[in-house]
Amino acid sequence: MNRKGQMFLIAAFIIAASIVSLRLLIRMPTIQEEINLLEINLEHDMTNNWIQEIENSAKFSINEKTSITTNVFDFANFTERKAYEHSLEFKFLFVGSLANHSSNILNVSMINMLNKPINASLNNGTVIRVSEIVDNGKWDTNFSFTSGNPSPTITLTVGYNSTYSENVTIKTKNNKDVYVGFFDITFETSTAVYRNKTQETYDIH
Amino acid sequence: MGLGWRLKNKRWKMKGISFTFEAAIASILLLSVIIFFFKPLQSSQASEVNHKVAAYNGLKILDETGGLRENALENNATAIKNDLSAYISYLSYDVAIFNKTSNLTAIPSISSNDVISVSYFLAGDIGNYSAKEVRVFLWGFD
Repeated sequence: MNRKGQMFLIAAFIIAASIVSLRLLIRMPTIQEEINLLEINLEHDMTNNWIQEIENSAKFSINEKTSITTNVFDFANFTERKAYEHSLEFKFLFVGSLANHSSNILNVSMINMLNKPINASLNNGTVIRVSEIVDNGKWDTNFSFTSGNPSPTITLTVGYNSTYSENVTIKTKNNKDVYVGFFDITFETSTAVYRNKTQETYDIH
Repeated sequence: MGLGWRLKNKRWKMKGISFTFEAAIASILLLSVIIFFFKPLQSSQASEVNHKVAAYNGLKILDETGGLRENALENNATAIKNDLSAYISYLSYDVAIFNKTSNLTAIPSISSNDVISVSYFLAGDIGNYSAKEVRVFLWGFD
């Protein structure tokens, strides 16, 4: 009996079985990869939301210049608690400096939320101030500066534990106070690190 | 033309029909398998993440286009819920607003056991610092 015709069916069964086997092998990783990608994107969006709002906590407080640093600290604590609820570790270093144009005093606050105590230093080029800041602590200090025309630009070098150094540039103004916020924000998960370092300047009216 | 030739011709025709029929069955079988196994995959976990992304993107758009901050500052969860309907009307959802320590609006009472949530954080608005969390609860994905 000639069975050439059945060869089509036999071949089709073999190919179909191969496709089914192959698909079953790659099925779960594909779904899992898709879920992971969506979750990573969502996590990235959420960290961007927090980073933006931490910066906004300073921006939205400029009407009360004495509360800017306090509000940033407050929002950072809020963020830390909420990030923990989302299995994210939050680390934050903040330096806020208010250049008072009438007293020529630069009031500087440094917030440590790096989950460890730090030996902090602030250097304006002529004076170095140091202090230990406990975890979740704030250090307030000040520097004097000489007004002039043009108004001076102060470079404040921020450091801790002799391993970290960042320059914060403060362009003072003769006719108004200036607030400069330096934000170093990190979110960590078991698989990713999101970090953002930025410096924002606000004129105080 | 003898009887033998006619019988031979008929047998060939039958064979041809049989080949065509079997080839057609084989093609249908292969096509069915390919279509079934290569259609886009879905799982309940993937769709839950998709719903969270949709809700989060809705909140983000509301923030970018205005309204979300104002409503959050006024603790107006109902207005946020109404505004979100443009993005996730196909889902069962509700909105609650929290500050640093507690809820400022009622936490929805949901009978479903399958509830997920997504949050959006706000530091207030210009000239009005206020830490807020807008949380969207989503359920009923069956």
